[in-house]
This record gives sequence, C-alpha cells and structure tokens, in this order.
Amino acid sequence: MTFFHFGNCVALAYGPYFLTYKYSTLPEYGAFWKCAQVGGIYIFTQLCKMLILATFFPTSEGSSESVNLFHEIIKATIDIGDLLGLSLVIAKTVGGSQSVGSGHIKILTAGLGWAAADLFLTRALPLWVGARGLQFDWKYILMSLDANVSLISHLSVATLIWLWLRNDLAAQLRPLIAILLTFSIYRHLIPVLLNMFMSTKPEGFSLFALTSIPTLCVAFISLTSFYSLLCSCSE
Amino acid sequence: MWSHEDLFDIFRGNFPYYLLIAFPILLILSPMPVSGSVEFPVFRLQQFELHGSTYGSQSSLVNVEARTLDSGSYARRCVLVRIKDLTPSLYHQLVNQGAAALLILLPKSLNSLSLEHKELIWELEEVLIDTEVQMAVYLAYESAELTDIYDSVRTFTNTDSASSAAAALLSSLSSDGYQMVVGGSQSKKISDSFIANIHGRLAGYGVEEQLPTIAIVAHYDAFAAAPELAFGADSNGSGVVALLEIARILSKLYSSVRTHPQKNILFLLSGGGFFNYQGSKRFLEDQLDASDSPLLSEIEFALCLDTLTNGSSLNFHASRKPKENTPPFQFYTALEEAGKQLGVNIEMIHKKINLKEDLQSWEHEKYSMRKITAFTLSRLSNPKTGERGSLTDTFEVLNATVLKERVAVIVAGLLKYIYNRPVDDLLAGGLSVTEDSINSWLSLLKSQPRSTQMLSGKNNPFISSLHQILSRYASEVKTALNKADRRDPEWVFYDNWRSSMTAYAVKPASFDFVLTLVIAAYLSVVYLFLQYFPRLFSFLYKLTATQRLKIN
Repeated sequence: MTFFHFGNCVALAYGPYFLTYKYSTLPEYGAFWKCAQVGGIYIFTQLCKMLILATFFPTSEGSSESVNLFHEIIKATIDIGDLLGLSLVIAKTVGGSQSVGSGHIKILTAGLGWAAADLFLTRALPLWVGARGLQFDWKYILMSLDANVSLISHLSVATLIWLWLRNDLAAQLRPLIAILLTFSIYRHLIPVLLNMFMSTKPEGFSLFALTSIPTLCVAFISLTSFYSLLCSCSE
Repeated sequence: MWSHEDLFDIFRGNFPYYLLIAFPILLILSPMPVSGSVEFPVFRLQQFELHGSTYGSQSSLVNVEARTLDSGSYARRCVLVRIKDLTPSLYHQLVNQGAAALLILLPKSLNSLSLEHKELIWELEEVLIDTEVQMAVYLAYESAELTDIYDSVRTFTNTDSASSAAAALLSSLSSDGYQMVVGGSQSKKISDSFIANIHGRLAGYGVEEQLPTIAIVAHYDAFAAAPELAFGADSNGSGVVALLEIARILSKLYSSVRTHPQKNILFLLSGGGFFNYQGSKRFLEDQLDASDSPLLSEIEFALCLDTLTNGSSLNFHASRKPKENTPPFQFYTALEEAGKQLGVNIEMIHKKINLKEDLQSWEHEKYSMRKITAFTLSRLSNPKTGERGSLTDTFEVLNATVLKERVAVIVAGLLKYIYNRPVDDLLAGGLSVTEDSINSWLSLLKSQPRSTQMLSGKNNPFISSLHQILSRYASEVKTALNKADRRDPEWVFYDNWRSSMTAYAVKPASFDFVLTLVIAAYLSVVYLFLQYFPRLFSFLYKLTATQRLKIN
C-alpha cells in the first residue's frame, strides 16, 4: 500500500527481535558479534542444505500443482541440517562457561542469531517488494506475525538442542526432547497433510493459527524442561 | 572484535545522511509489484479535434480511488457506473464535481438491450463525445471480476453515510477499497494521420471521356463512443458490402462485350465519414480543382450508400427534388420499380442543405455543395438519431439476409437505370446478389474495429485489403492518402484508444494508523513480558521447587 504500511510490517516483524536482544541481558555480555557469527553459520548451513537438495533430490518438473508428499517429506528432512548447524553453534561457537547458569545466554545468542538471519534472508525482500505495493494484502501482516512465531520456534529449538547436548539431562526426558525436535522439523508438513487427507486448504489466519499453536506448545514444553533441569541442578 | 557499541558508533557519523539519500533511490529503483491485483482491458472515450473544436475526454491517466454513484462526492475519484445508470445530467454532474476518472461498465452483450435502452445509450454517447472534459473516461465490458469490484466499492463507499465515526471506521477496516490505475503516457496527438480514399472505375463502351459517369460512394469507417468499440456493422459496414457487391456484379457485365453498357462507373470508398465526410470532401477538392478531372467529368449523379439494413424501407435522401426526365429521377423510378418487385418501399426525403451548419448530415451534401447531383440511400429517415455511429451497432445485430435483399434492390434499380430496360434476364443468369459473397465481405469488416483514427496509419492492412478487393473488380484502383492541413488541421486524432486498467485493493489511511496503534500495543506487551521474564522465571522456579518439596 504505502511506505507507512511497509513501516508497520517491519515494526511488527523486527520489533520483537530487537526487544528480545535489548532486554534479555544479551547486551551486557556483548553478544552482538556472537549473534552475527551465528547468522554466518546459518547462511553456511542453508547453502549446504540447498546443495544437498539440488544434488540428490532434483525437483520434479511440471507437476508443481499436485502436492507430492514424498517430496515434501524429503524437503522437511533436509531441515535436520538446521539442527546440526544449531548444535554446532551451541557446542562450539557460542563460548561461555559450561555451567547451567549461563545456559540461557547460550540459548538466546544461538536462537536469536539464527532467527534473525532467517528473518533477514527470507522475509526482508518479500516485505520490501510486497508491502509497499499499491495492493493491500493481509499476507504481509501475517508474514510479519509469522516472523515472531519463528523467533519463538527457533529459541525453543535452541533450548531443546542445548538440553540434548547436556550430560546431566534426566534420562526420562531424552525421548521427549527427541520427539519435540522431530516435531519441530516436520511441523511445516501440517498444512500439507491437512490438504492431502482432509482436502481442506487453510489460508490466511487459520493457516497461521494452525502452524503457530503447535509451535507455541513446543516452546512451552521446552521452557519447562529447561527450568526443571535448572532446578534439579541448583538443588 | 566488534561489540554492538561499535555498530552504533556508525550511526553517530555521517551514515544517517547517506541513508537519507539512499532510501529514495532504492524506492525509485525497486519495482512495483502487480501480484494479486485485477487487471482488465478498458477502451478510452473518443478524443479528437474537428474543425478546431475539441471533443471527448482530454486525459488518459488514472490513479485514484474508486467510487460508485452511491457515494455523494466524486471529486478526485474514479467513478464506476453501469451504462444504464448513467444519464446525461448525471454525467454533467460528475464533470462539475471534478471527478478524476469515469469507468463505464457495459453489459457483456449489447445486442440484448431493448430499443429503449439503446436510445438512452445513443443519447448518452452523443453527450459523452460532444462534451469536452478533462477527466479520463473509459469503457469496459463488465466481467465477473469487475462486478465483484463494483459491489465491493459500493459497500465500501456506503460507509460515508455511517451512523457514527466509530462505525464508519470499523466498516472501512473490514471492507476493501480499490485504487484504479491506468499508467503509461498521457494521450497525445497522432502526428501522421491520414484519411484514405480508395477509388476505382469501370470504363463504359465507347469513347471513355464522352460517356456519362455514375459515382457510387460509401464511407468505410465506423464510429462509437470509444474507437476500439466502433465496429459499425450497419453504418457503414452495410454500405461497403453493398458497394463491393455492386462492383462484383458490374465487373462481370462490363467484361462481356454483349452487356458492356455505355456508362462509366466510379467507385469510391471514402474515409472520415464520421468526421464531416473528410474523405469525400478531399476527393472532390482533388478531382474538381485539378486542371484535368477525368474521373468526375460528365458525371450524372453520385449515389451514396449509408446504413442500409433493418427497418422496412429505404429512404432516398436528396437535397433537391430531382426534376422529371433527368438522370436522378430516372434512377429513382427504376429503384422504386425494383423495390416494388422485391417488396421494399422506397421513399423520397428531401431536405435543403443548411449552409450555416459546419457539419453536413449526409454524405451527398458534400457533392451537392460542389454542384454535383447526389443523393444518399439509407434506411434512416433522420441522420441525427444517434443510431449512426454507436456502440450498439455490432455485427451480432446485423441481419445478413435483410442486407442481401437491400443490396439486391439497389443492384436491380441500378441495372435497370443503366440498361434502361427490365433486367430480370441479366440477374437470373448467375449475376444475383449471393449470401456467400455478402458474408465474405462481412467477415472482412468484422475482423477489427474500423474507427477513423485506427485506420489512419500510413500502411493500414485493412485499407490495403479493401484496395485489393476493389482492384479485383475495377480498374485504375488508387488509394489516396489525405493529410490534415499543417497549419489549420481539419482533424486531429489522439492515441491511447485501449489500455489496461488495474484495480488494487487498498485500505484507507486510517487503517494503517489503527494498525500502527495495534502494533505499538503488541510491542509494549512483548516489552513487558521480557521485562518481567526474570520474575516469571523465579515464580515458576519457586512453584516447581515447592512441588518438588511436596513430592519429596
């Protein structure tokens, strides 16, 4: 619509990232450069993913209309690369002590850096091109809202990976975390599956709700597990 | 190593000023997307100058919000209106209120309209063309998408009369407005516009220069509110069909020694028939003012054909009543007899030329003014009904069978006059008017809109195909391109007859403002959440701790 509308969308998309960085004690640790490094690793991971996808799974041409479940599953499976990249980030790049107390700094640095890079690379251009056009469309506001959900999602994945990498994690929590991580990989399949088996194609706000509510649940569970570990350690 | 402090140091220097320059450049360079918007073809109202006066809409650019007639104010808006809702007085009201653009929606098929509706459209078309307006006026066929837009705009604009400001705001947030855009460049004069005349002749038996000549004239162009919609089936497609059919039949008679008559025939397909017969005017000037005028020497009369189909009778328009025993009178009686035979009533209508008027109502008046006996054959009794040169004059309405009958009457009358005897034997011998040939001429005429300005190019394919067809039947076929006078042009045409209009769904500015408020509120909630996160953290910590204690 107008530049003003573009400003609105940007504020909605980037505001929470900025606030999260500013008010989560990250500046005190001088973590900006760390976040940028994480972003670099994100870009590298995406390149690797694309190379693998292009080399081993060439896209089936022509049948872009019909949803191929197999292809969708492969595409989602490649997202394991994201987990590997993030674990690399958490294990090696983000320094700091190994104590539980600095865990949240690690998680925040890795998750925020990862999410911010994701935001810049996947949403900045569509917003710049689309939200300034004459045509009004709710999809740019939804895209901005989705950016917020993806921040939470990335943070929760970072938490889960951090938990997974801990040695002192309670053994009964490991299967739960594994399940949650798997879910976080395959969550993009939800609308595809719905489309295939129930022949409903959610759009707009219902699609947004459909993808964001499971993500929020995962985030809540990972947060409580994080606290439980924290509690068990401090006892 | 960088800290975030370093990054913020950048902003303390000159960097912000560079951004001030860079942003507008980025804004200009980045492409405007068109995804999701609705695009449809639109046809622009006529814009031309004739004898120094200006007609039609003077602008072709649109970039304003859409409104319907329901909203009271039209200033700087694009008004969407169905053609049956638009009246001349309403049109003047729109012009006076300063509407920026007008989009007239035409029903998908114009031929299903009743005669009453058609008469209203004729009246409206005349007003549209005669009024010189600054706003851009377009016509479009109403597609399903356009109907949706029309309905949406209608509910959207009804908020102007909502009960309270809050209600108006709420409904404007939930419904879509539309921004109508026609880009490109402003309409401009076509510098090289030609009005072409195509003429050919059939030489009679004997010394050619001493034989009397009959001129058969039909203008080939069409006219409507929008040049792109000017198909002109009846006026003057029917005239052209009749002329070509006469040429086809006469060429056979002229090629046989036995039936070679002692009269020359001159065929003229004239241009600019809706621009005060500029084609005929130029033809007469060229032929009469030239030192030797072989084409128009010894001319008996000129027969103009204009709008022949439909109706019950053919009218014989003359500016002076033909005297008895003169060629025109003989032709009239021949025609009357042929009409009686084939069941078509021929009526004589005679109207003096009003020399005070700039615009002539019939083509024959141009000839009469140059002292050449001439008359027009037409089914219309009055040239100014608006039926000539209208949107409604499409080929779907044209009845080829009726047209065939009319042409047969004219051919029979003409032959009767030429041979001065009953000609039933000639017509029976495979020389009759056939529906096949009528249809083949019609399919040529049908192929494209024939408004004068669209045929004004130097090498127009339609003109060349007319030239080719005429040269099949007549000799010495020539296409004469007439250019408007350089200093004092009789006619000036403007381009941009057809564009595509894009409708973008938009929200009012108040929507963005409300959105800003909502986002600000959301961000402050996020801020508060982050601020109290440690407290929430410790609360949860305590909660789980007490639970653990209980369990233990």
